Amino acid sequence: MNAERPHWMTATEAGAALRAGEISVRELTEDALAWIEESDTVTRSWVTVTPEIALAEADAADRELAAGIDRGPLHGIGYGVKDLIEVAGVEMAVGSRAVAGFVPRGDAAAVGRLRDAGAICLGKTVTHEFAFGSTSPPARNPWDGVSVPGGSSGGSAAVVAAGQAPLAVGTDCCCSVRNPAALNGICGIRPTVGRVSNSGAVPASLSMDTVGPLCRSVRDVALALTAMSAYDATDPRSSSTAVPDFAAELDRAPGDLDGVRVGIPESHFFDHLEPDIAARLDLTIDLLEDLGAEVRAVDIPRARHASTIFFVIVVAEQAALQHDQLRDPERPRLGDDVQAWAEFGNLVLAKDYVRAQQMRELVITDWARAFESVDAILTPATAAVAKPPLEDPVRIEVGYPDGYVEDVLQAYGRFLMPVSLAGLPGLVVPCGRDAKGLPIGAQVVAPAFRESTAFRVGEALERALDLPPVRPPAVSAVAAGPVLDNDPTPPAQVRR
Amino acid sequence: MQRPSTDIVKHLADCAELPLRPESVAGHAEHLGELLAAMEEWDGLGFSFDFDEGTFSYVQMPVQYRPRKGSE
Repeated sequence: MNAERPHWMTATEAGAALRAGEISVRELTEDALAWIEESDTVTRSWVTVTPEIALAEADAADRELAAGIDRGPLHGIGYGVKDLIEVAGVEMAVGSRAVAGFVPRGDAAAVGRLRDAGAICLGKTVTHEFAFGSTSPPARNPWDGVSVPGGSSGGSAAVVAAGQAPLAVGTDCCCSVRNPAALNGICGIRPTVGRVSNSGAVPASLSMDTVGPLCRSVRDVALALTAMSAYDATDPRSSSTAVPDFAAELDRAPGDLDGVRVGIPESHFFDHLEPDIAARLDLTIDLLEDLGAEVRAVDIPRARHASTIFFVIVVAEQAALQHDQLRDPERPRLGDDVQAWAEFGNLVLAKDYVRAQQMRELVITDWARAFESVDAILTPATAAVAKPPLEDPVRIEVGYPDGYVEDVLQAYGRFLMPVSLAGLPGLVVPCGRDAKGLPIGAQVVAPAFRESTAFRVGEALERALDLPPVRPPAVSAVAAGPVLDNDPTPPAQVRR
Repeated sequence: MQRPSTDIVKHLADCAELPLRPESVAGHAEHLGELLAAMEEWDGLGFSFDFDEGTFSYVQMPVQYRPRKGSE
């Protein structure tokens, strides 16, 4: 174990320290809880911290280890849960005043799997309301303490990047695991639809949602995905496809990428990029070749329609899910942005929803054709790095050197939505930082149920890039002294 | 592309029994116009029936089916 405080360890490192007897689960958990207390003044990313539950689970985990019962690599590892995924007995607000006072009776399927794996629930993390946005107020990005952490799993990404937990659970409909992972300089995967059960996770979309882990290394993501994945009869889209031990597959894979064919899309995915992102992606593609990969051009020609397809489908599905909420004037309103999206879904004709689904099929066909000649496809994760909210906490404009201007929702989602439409797995790995030190991410897309390929490419890149450990300056400064807070947005109401 | 009028938005909201705030209508009309304009690019991609040369075609919707345990 190194000289740093234990909360900075990855799940893999913490697991090794626990089994070497260098630290107990209680010590690990107490340090994490103390660090949350100290540094969430910057990240504002916890809705609820549950020390009583965490310490009781930690003591139980210690007793089991002492008795020779080892539940596997996540035994004793702390995690946060996006506050739209159920944890038994812990209030869940879905980021909305419309859901006040709801306390789930049971765990979401993915949380139950983590509990069975011996992991320690530290609390609930900030989500954009009903997972319908990319800014996740009031959470802040730990790299500068001012910018947004992305979303909708912005809180989950921020707590992992800030060293408050080595693992957090998020959901990804449009892009909600992947853009926060990229903007916070960590790893996260949107698994294949059906790999992880959605049961117990409040849906943003009935046809695109997934539950996925965020961690500070590819290997940790592989460990977490293995633990979270299983067939679940309560989720109609759950798949009985065999779940590999993803970390063991990484152990068996050679460290290089000899024989791996990686596609680089010719259109859409490299349009309107911030220059530092373009430069880091160029370097990352060069690294693929250095690692022995065969880099080929591919095309997803209909990907440019993905945003339109996505919004037609998702606003219609959200309107259906919010039907009762929208028609009852007695209920507390949703936030202005989410209310507007849900209302708007009522104005989309059924015919246009079907046309969007037909168009989606063409995008799926494009991906299938591309994967006939490659094993994985690399794209930027986002077109822009994390931005500060100025006058509006959710609407931020992003401009590019070519004069193109778009909303942050597009900047953080337009390379990720084409993957969501096809139900494919997408792994985000950090690939550098911009001139201001803000993280840049790359996305590795794989065919359905071939997450192992994405992990292999991602870990090879992680090793070759050899980026410094994730130590975001704004939270690291907390340990050195008080941080000036000139941000007018009030912190979350944290219940302890 | 002609933008849908606010009357159309109000009518659609009435059909959906949606208690729309008056100040929301103009914004929805603008967004609806943008969306419909973007969807115009899909015309001619073969979504509608095409009966020609002794066969017919159309674009399917995605199949969401996943095998249930025991059904394979």
